[in-house]
Amino acid sequence: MKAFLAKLDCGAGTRACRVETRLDAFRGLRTPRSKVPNTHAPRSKGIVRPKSVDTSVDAADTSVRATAVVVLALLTLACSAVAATGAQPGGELRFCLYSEPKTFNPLLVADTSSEAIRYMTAGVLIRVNRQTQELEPSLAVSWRVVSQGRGIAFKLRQHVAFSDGTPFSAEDVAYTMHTLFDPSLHAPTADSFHAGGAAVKIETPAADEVTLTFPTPVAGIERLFDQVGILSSKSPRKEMASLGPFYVAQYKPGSEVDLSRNPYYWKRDRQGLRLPRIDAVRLYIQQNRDMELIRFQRGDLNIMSAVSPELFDQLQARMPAAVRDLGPSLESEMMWFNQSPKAPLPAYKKLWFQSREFRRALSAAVNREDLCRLVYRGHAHPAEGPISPANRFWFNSGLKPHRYDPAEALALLGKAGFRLQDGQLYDAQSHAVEFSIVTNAGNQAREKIAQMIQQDLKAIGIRLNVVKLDYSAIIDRISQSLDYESCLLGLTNVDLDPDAQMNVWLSSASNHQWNPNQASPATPWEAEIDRLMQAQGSELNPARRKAYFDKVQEIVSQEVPFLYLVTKNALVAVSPSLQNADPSVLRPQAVWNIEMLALTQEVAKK
Amino acid sequence: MNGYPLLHIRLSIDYPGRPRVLDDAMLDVRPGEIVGLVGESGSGKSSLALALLRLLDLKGGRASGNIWFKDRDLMRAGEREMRSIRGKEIAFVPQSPSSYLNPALRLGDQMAEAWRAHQNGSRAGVERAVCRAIEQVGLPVDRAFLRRYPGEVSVGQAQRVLIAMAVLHLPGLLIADEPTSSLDLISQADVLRLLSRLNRELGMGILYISHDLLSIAGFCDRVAILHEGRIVEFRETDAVFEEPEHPYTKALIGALPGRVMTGDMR
Amino acid sequence: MKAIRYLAATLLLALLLAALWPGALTRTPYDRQFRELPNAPVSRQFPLGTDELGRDRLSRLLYGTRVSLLAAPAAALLSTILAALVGGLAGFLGGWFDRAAVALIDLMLSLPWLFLLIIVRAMLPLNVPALVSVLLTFGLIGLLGWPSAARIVRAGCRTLRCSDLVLQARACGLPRGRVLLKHVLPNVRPILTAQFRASIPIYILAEANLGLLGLGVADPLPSWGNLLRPLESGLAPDWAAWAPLILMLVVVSCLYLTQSSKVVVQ
Repeated sequence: MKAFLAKLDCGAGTRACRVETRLDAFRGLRTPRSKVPNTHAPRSKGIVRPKSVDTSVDAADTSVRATAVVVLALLTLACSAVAATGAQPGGELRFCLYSEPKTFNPLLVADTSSEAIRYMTAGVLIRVNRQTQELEPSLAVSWRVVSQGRGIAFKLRQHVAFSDGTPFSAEDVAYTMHTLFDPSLHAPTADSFHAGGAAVKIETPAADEVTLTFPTPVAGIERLFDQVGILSSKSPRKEMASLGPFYVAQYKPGSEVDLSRNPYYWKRDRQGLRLPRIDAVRLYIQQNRDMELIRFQRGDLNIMSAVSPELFDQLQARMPAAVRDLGPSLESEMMWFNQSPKAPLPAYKKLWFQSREFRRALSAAVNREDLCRLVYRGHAHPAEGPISPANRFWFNSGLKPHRYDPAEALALLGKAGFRLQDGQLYDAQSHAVEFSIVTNAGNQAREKIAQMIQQDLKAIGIRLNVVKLDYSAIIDRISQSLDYESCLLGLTNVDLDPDAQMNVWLSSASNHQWNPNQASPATPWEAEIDRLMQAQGSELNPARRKAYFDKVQEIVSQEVPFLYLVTKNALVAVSPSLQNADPSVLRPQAVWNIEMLALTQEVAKK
Repeated sequence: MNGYPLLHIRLSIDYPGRPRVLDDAMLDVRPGEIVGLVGESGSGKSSLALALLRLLDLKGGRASGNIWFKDRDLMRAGEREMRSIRGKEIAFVPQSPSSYLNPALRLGDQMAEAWRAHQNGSRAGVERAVCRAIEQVGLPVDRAFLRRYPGEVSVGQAQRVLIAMAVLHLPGLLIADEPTSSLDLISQADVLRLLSRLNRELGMGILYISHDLLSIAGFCDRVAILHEGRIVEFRETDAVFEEPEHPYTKALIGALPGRVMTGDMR
Repeated sequence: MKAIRYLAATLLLALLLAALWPGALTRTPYDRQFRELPNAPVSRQFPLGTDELGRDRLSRLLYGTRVSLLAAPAAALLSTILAALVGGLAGFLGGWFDRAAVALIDLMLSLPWLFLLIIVRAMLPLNVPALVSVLLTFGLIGLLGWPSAARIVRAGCRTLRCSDLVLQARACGLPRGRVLLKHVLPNVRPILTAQFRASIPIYILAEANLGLLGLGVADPLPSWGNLLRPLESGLAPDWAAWAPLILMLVVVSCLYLTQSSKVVVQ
């Protein structure tokens, strides 16, 4: 189920669009987006709970984008500027990790803390820009997708060295890929390539060229390399030798992780000064959010992620300059009805849940605006569908959230044979309409949502019983026993690419929550979704893939297997002393452009 | 007084780690007779009293032998039968009223409990029985008195309440275990007079246990002397005083301040 | 002192009446969401303001008082009775029953309740009316709350078991059950009443914690427990959100103040 949760996406209010400039060879050196004003969406801080970093990428970027010549020229420039390093502001950036990092090996990362550390320390071939969600060259200056999507050829950056001075070459990339696809390593990152172990062919035709060939085409292959941290094949420090802006200098389990500036980091700013600007990053392992808040207010911490709406408003009153509402995140809340014929429910209830009118009526009966306003204090948007507007490429901008309209809800219910009598809704066989919704106990926001839906449904004569269960009990009910009527849960999108949602949308899939593991599609619309999902998976053209998936989103909006409720905003807090901060909705939010971040003088001294 | 015994015992008592606290002690009480059992502290007198009621296990002891009471061997009686005997046929007056009365229960309620243990009478019936017993022991027949808690009356009064509880059911045998030990001299005399009157009026047999030979001399028909777990002497009171046989008895009598006149209390 | 006791009793009575007829003090339904007025300040319409969903805090407090003030003492009574029975019987009877009861108490205290309660919740049907959820929750609390108190009661009864007052009661022929009920338990009453009073606030809060496991009083029915939940978040809420806590402290203090000054501890 966790996987399932991670897969589904959510939509939210429209997001400001920015004029995207085409990336060019200077892209890696340009100040990343920090100059873009925050005017489009309400800014707030609060790092969305880290889940996964990946963002999907416009497939139009497949072609070679950078010209090696320019890069070479720049590198020369960079080398000549080494002497200028001392002129950097320095200072120490401090923020909290909310859990113990499980590993420092970039290939073994599965938890959010390790992922944040990987982002700041490991070098990757291709970087997904967290603001534009587009691909940018990193250790690879250019790349080509070859063999009808089965392979990819990289041209590597030259004169790059690991944090211990060991030079970087194609050999290291080959070594990394061999390690990654070694079945005995069980690298979580390798799974997303859908490649079975030894079948991946790795070639190094030149010292600065690497070609990978997979047994089958991999949709959106390039974006996957954003998560593959390159290891050194020769460094005595093994995986602790890094190519990113920082390296792990010290780890005190249970207390903190200290990162130091990588003196060999290849990137430079426009003035040709070596990046990163900050000397060190101190990551406190701290679960207590209240303590975090106090330390942040004291100026002890520079960044706070995943701020709750209540905390956000409180902090806004005290430090208005620090909080930023980044607009719709990839996290949403949704509910669905159990439509499985195998469910141990009375037949008449199954009829309700299998009725499209019933589902649409209930969707229309829920006041999403009120949910956003009351539960999230306005830091949320009514959800359109499975894809959040934060997912720029895949979001179907033609979709609108279902409108709150109790009258329409009753009309729809009337059409399906229900009737309202003395404030109580009855079905065609005169059963009073009453059902339960399960949600996980202890989540206050979700409990409030359930109570509001309870009142909304009461208005159309439906009695809703809110059942709060422990998380594993819910998972058992919705995936094993199927003994539930409806379910309210939140979802976080891990992967921007819809290919990762195959296991939700295919009717045969086990995570096809409303009616899992179907032998053949129960309804014509599920059959159509099956067809469209298969089609987008075997298509390499991004525009055509998007057309298929747009259609899926439309069908879902029509048939309402899921009632998408709200898309939460990403809320972060960034101390005013931090310069160039430009937090992104995608993780790692405030530190996605860490090499550009700088601290004001007094803080740097502190 | 006829010679037919109301109670006849032949008992041994052991405690864990302390065997033969009482060693084959023989004793009998005839109907309407007062028998004194005299022995020093720790000689097993109280254990004997408890053994008679088959309650010795509460103190951790074990009795063996026979207890013949009205043709029944109580050692062979079941708990149910014993329950119907305790308080009804064999009553018990303990030594210190302060610890034997339930501090959490009003005097009247405790008496009513004792009454209801063997009679299921109406509320009025209970009250009548309680008042009669109270009257018999010379306490004021007064509701306010009965509503008091044990801590709110004097020790002498409490002791009388215990005696009243014992005579509620007009038992054939009353076992009094040093009922005067916590009383002052005047109260002691009062209690003895009371017991002897009850003995006369109600025809109860009394087994009176004491460590003080002198105080009971004028009160008992017969006296048993208990020494080191054995009954060393058991005869008419006068005979014991006039010709003590056992050295221990002799020592006891020798320690007395002067010759005691017998019969002055009756 | 007496005046304070009367005052406390009056206050308790007033609260009890308010709990029984909350409708007399408020016209607003406790579950009505005035969504345009969330977190409203104190006003004539909402004497305690509204909560984050725009529900009238006063109304929720009154109806929550009904649930908690009636159900928590009932649960406390249930667990106290169970503690008295199990602990009393174990201490009083001793022997195999005692060993079994001690084993049961230890088992109850060592079981991973968190997981068991989760399993209990998982086994319950999904559509449970709110009233049933109240009975279930507090019934469960009452059924699970007795072991630690039973252990104390047992210790108390164990010393009473061999005490003189039990001996006296037995000697009067009272059956053992009667002795336990009328003589032993009244003497551990201080323990029991202390347990009862201490349980009430604990159970009110336990209901809030059960809510975290999905077992508490079902939405939208308010209880002091679920009204107190927002205080856990660490954010400083409106003062009115503290009202349930204040009320709870008042009730507990009143319970202590009305306690009879007669202390019957042995």
